[in-house]
Amino acid sequence: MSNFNPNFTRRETPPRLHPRKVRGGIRLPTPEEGVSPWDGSWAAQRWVRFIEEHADGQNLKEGLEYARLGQTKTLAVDPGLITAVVQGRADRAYACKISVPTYTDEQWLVVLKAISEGSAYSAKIFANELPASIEEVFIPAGLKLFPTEPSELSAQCTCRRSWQTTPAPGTPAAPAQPQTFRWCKHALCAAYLVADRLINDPFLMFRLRGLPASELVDRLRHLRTAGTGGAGLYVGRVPGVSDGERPDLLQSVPRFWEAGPELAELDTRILPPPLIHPLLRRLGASPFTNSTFPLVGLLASCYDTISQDVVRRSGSIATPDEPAPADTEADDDDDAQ
Amino acid sequence: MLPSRDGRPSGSPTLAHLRGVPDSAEPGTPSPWVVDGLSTPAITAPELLEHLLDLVSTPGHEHLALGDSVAFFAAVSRVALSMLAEQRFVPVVRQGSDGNATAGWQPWLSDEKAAERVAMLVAAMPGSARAASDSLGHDAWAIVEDVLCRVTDAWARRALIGESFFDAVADKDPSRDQPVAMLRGLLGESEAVEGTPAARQETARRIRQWLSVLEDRGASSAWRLLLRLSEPPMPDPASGARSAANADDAMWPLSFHLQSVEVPTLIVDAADVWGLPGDSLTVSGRRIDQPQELLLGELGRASRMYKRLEKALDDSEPVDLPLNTKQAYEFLREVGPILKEQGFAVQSPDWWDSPLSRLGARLKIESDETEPGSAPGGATGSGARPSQLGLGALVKYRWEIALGETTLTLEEFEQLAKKNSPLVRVNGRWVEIRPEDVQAAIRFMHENTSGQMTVGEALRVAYASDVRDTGIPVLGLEATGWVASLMNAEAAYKTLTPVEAPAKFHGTLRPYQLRGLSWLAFLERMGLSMCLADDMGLGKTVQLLALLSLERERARAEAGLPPDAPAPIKPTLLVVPMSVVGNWIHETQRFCPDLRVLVHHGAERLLGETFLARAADSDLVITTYTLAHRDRELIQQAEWGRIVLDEAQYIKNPVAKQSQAVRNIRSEKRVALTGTPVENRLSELWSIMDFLNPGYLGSAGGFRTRFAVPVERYKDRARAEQLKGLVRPFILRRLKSDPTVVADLPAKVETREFAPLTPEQAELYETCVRRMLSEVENSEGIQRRGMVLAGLIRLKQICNHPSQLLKDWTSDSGKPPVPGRSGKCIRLLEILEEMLAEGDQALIFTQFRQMGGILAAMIRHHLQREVLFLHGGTPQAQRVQIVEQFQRADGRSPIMIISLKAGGVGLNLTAATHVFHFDRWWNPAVENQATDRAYRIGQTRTVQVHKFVVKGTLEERIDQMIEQKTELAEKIIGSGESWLTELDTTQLRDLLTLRNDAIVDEA
Repeated sequence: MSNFNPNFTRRETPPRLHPRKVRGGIRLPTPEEGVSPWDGSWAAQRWVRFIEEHADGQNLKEGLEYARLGQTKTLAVDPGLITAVVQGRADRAYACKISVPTYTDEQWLVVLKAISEGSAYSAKIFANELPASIEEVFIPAGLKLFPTEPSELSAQCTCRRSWQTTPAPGTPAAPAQPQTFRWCKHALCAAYLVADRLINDPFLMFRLRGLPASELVDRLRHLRTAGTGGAGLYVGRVPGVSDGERPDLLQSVPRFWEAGPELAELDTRILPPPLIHPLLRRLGASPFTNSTFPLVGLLASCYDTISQDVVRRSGSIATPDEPAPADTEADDDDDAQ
Repeated sequence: MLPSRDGRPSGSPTLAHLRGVPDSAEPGTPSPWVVDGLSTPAITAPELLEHLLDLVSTPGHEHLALGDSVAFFAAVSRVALSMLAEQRFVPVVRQGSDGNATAGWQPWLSDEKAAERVAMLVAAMPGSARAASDSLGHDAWAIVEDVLCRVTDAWARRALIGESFFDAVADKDPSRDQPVAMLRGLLGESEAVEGTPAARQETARRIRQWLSVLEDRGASSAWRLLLRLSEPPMPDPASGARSAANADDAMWPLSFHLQSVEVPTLIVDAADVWGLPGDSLTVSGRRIDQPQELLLGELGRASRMYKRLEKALDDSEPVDLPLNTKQAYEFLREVGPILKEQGFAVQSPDWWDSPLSRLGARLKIESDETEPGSAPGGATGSGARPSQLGLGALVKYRWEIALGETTLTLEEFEQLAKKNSPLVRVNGRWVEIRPEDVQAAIRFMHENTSGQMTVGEALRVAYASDVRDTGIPVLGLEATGWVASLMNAEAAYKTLTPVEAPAKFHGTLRPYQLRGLSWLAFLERMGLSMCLADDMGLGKTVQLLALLSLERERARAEAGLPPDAPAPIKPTLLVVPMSVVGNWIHETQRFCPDLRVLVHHGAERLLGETFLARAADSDLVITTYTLAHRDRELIQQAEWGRIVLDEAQYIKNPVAKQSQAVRNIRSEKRVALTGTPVENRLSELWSIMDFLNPGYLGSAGGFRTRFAVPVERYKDRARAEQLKGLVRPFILRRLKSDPTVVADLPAKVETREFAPLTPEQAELYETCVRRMLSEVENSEGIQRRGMVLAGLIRLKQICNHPSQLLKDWTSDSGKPPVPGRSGKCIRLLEILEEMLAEGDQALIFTQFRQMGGILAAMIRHHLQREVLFLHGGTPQAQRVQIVEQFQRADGRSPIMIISLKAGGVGLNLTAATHVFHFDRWWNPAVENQATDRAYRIGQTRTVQVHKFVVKGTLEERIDQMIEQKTELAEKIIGSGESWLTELDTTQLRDLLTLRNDAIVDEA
């Protein structure tokens, strides 16, 4: 990892024509003929469009080439900052940073509230999808998810050919003049790789803006969402429980240390099923129609094995300290003397 | 986050009670604290939690207490295991924010039964279980889900790894086969789903969609498909149809209908759906849109799970599907339940799944007749033949196969089995014969035909046999003779003719007491031992004494002896706790003065040959549990006709020395008296039953595994019923609230509790009296008066508790005062414990505020309950609050101690049904006024008033004087305590000296 020191000078060997090869670098997959790689991901498209609109054409081309060649050694996307180490033609790789303004907790609270009020958003988010219309919730808060002006981002690179100053917060951006990135190809290479990541993880932009996806999900959960109708398609849905009112800790204080009366009624016996494979019978054939692997058959064996194992083991949970109980029926009946 | 006040976290009420300090009413607001913790991996959590619960209930671990959250999480992890056992879990694929995919096993909670259990868990969660500040955000649902998922995944994987399931995919290429990639994340340690990002996403999507079927409930939320299976019509005898049992060619129609979800009685037949034209159909005001499409669509959806329906769909207007018997069975047993889970309605014939139509074995017993109303025979001879009665009696038995209500012989059954059909018609009714049951039944009958067994064995087999051992379910027991009345104990009790009260019994027995007496006598005649478990205050003492009296009356009559002669019956040994010896003596003298009583207690008790001779000459010998152990060799030598245990919960620990000593005493009859509801404490139940009928409930360990843990911890209702069946004949329990009892109870019942003295108290008392008398001897006038009064107060304090006199305890002492130093306190705690178990509330009056404080701390620590205390220093506003809290009667503060000069005149405390006068005002009017806090208008239940008197001390003397209304009595009542000062020294000595019959606890 190179030191990020813009003042560093060194006697350079004559520049190569091509960048040094990197083994194991992060590579942008080359798309098929006529197909844009960003199809299918509105988030990636948005980002790329933004970059391509405002960056210098030549640098863009070279940046893209670098990305396809796999010149990036490392890439990190953190709140507020994209850091990359890109290998150019010089001996030493260059280190770039792209700064993205993050939003404060208060600002996020406004956005999250707006998201939670629209039930469709929450459902999709819990299912790991991000609809394009999500950008709209940022507008009333005066915020945006994706940047629209170059002045919002700033990049620095040890190749010293990249600069962009971010206006100090509070000062208005310089008006009228069309703004451009003066970003070097290394920074643009990193930008393309970020676009690639956005395909599978549209939430990356949230992360850049200061809210990692896991926190996003958690915070949405906290915000009381009556009737979101879907905190996940799997176990997350228990009608009346997961979508109902969720009392907060304060309400439990009067009865803080005591369990409720329902605990005394709860049947917790461990028994084998009256009918085997109840769920498999309802699920039907394997969903992987393009595979011949006997998935359902294997799952059936899994179910049986797991169920028998639990039943067997739980026989011993009842009394861990006692030896295996003798059959009471076998006791002789003494006279009642 | 913990509730906090004044900068500190507030403790739980349990903690406050253990420390004997008042539980603050204001828990405070949650604030963050850092707390030490231990973590355990999900795989060990279920066993660890169970182990903790077991640990705390083993003897020797009374110093450990568990918060409710332990039991809570134990329940959560058990639910997870229960769902694993029932195969109600699914594989899922999740995508993380970094694009990686993981697979795991998760419980499927959206089905009705699972959702119900989860809802119960979430509702029951104590705040302490969600106090941790972590990513789950104190959210009850999220926490429950998290624990369920982790335990499920951990246990599922362990089972699969144990059987090397991973081998099935170990050498396959995950990038070529999506299911392989997924399985590699499910069958081994790793959760990772490999493959390209696109492939991973695709896999996640497909699995999501696959699982979404489970929640699919059809196109309409108002109407659903109903499949109804009907019996084939009865064959027409006239047409010469074959025997009813041959059902091979019977056809069972499975008909299709639409049913309204909201109004299940609203059903539309398929024929009507096809027959009526139009886009919608209205039935009883409800509309079905596109009924034909709906019907077809739902049939299609159902056919995914039930292939035979596809044939019906060949028809453009399907109405029904005929099934043969085997297919009908398949539908009933395997298809119907699945379709129901998917939201379809299924109607089966009503005999399906009814207990009346199952295959099982029935035990038939023959025993001799006895006339229930006849005399309870004497212990020696006179008609009773002990070997033919009691649980050890041998009876003839026979096994039969029962199919529903019909009984078959083995041959008939074998013929039926040959038909090889799972459904057969027997006597016009259809019955299910599962193939596995047939084999098991035939095997069972060959192994167990007929013979002899003891009655005890028969009961056990009939009520408590396990299908896993016998192979087929045991449907019950049919008996002739005296065993029949044992089987149907409740009915027998009701129809029993009550005996007449014995002539020598002084006082009147209330009707329910007469019935209790009759039942006791009846069971003894059958050679059976019994537990009388009436609520406190209903007079168990009286019923037992009446039994002794009755027994002797009958024995004299049979032997032709005059009523004054001693009855030719061996004595009854009565084992009681120290604290009630006085009570028994008192009651015996009051109700059965003609009984010859020997009290075996105290330093001067009889020993050796003298004891044996005297015992043989007595009717009733009273001793304590302690002496039953200490003098066991002596006691075991004597010949006893009956042994009675009072407060039988004293032997609840079967390995305690007392319990063992008592069990080794030989006698023909046994009775246990207890007030605590034994059905709630199963280990106690076992111990008492084992004393009464040794071996009947098996070994203690076996009982624990078989009944105690499943019933108490896992709420296994079937086992609870079995246990009830086993013990019902032997326990008679009436409640104060029983309609048959309430009518007979007076509104107010007063009893005197004759408490003993501890050796410390006895010594203090004697020293104090000696000192007082010598001081008084040498003084006169005002000085004398002062000394007498001061001495009097000291004596009262000693009778209450030595700490009150010695001032060796204050509320900051940390440890609560020891009840064992005061006979009154021991007795008070015993009664309170029983009372709390019955759910009642009590007022305790004491004239000493300091004693009130001692009692409060003691009760809090030993009974783990909050105690309210009203005394002179309580500010008015707080008094109002205290009264309100008590009257709320929500179980949190059932005991109030009152130490007020006027006894709290004017307060309404009708939530109390027990009043204790711990130390007395020697003025009945004042005392009654205090009692009237509870016994007044608005009180709908019987009030029990307990007046504490220490036997042999001035308390008893003064009490007697007032009762007998002696001359002195008027002075006592009228002038407060100044009358004492007018007594001369001799009179004082006479009044104060500790009497011989004082009971001093030697132990």
